[in-house]
Amino acid sequence: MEFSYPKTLFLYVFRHIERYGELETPIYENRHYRELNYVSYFDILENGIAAIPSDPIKRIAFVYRELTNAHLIPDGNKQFAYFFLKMAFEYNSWEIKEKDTILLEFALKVAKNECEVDDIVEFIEKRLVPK
Amino acid sequence: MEYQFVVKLDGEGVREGLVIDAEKLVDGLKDFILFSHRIISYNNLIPKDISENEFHLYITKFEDNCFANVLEFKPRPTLNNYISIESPWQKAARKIYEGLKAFFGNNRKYFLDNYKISWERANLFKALRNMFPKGKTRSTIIVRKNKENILSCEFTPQFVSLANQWIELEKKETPKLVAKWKGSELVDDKIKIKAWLLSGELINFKFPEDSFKNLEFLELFRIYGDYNREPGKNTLAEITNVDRYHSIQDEFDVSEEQYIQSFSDDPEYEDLDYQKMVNLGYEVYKKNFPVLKLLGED
Repeated sequence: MEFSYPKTLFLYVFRHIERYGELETPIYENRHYRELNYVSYFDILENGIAAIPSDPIKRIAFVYRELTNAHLIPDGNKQFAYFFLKMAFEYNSWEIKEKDTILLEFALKVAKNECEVDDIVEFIEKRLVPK
Repeated sequence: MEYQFVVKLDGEGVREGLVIDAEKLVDGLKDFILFSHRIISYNNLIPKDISENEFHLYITKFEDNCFANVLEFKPRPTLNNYISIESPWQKAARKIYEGLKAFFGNNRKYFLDNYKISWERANLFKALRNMFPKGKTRSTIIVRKNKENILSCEFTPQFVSLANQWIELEKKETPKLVAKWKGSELVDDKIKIKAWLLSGELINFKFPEDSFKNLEFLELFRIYGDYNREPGKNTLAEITNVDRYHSIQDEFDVSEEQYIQSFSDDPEYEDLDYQKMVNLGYEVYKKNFPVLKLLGED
């Protein structure tokens, strides 16, 4: 499977949330998004952690899990992470095909730290379909 | 006798006020001039067929350095008075204007990235914007003439309420902001100038009338503050919530071209396929909105 995503996807997701975020708890109102050094954080994720997997899906799963649980921002971690997850695949013309309720359940499970990276990969791989 | 000048967003206001083009409001607000009001002087701009008692509210184009024009009212000469509002309102109006311009204008990205605007304040801008929603007409300023032929000018409570809140925020945030800017070597001249402006011109102004020293001013420009507002009405929260669930599309404050351009100008995004990301992001966001929304509620 040819798979890649640009480094800037991460940045883009931030910007995108800034722009479109109009959720119940509007995460775009969260000033910490803006004060965060996006690039630095991404570098840490990409380069600073030796354990970061090289397999593309595993890599995204890893970043997704990190984003969900690292709590680098006070609010909106789950939203941000989930949006990143979806974007990362859609950017490569793949889609995680599943009902919203199950996806929500899955995302909440990840947020409760009940999923390892391999669990996330397994969940994704079963549902990954080309767009 | 009462005159009411209505700022219109659609259609062409000839007698009642000048048009603010709703498209421009949404589309970057380059020419969106809200706070530079002037009643057209009698001898050159008011058409001859207007009766003696009529006034026009003229909203001029607001140039960056043209603050002197803010809120200057020129009654007709028969009233034999001329009022030029001094600094408090001028400053408040200018700051609100600048905020609006920065927030909704094409420099929004620059503003948000460099100005460290708080979201509290951003919401205030938004609330101010919402006073002029697309396709609706709302009154900002009411001008009245009493029995003694003296003009009075009243800003609508809604407007005043927002302006008051703006000023309070300004007071609260400015020292912190200035300290932050001064401590940074990265700020460019524009920011420094802005910091200087804010630090040097902190608004010393309250809407309740006791803050005015000029009695004539007081008499002629009785401005309603929060104390005059009906409880529970026109609160900031209420106004901001109106737009809370507007469609995503309504959230476009700048044109798509401007938005894409903002990426193109940013070296951080060198390897990004801008158009693809913009389209995709919007699509993914829409598609996943239910889940994102619920994740936010959790």
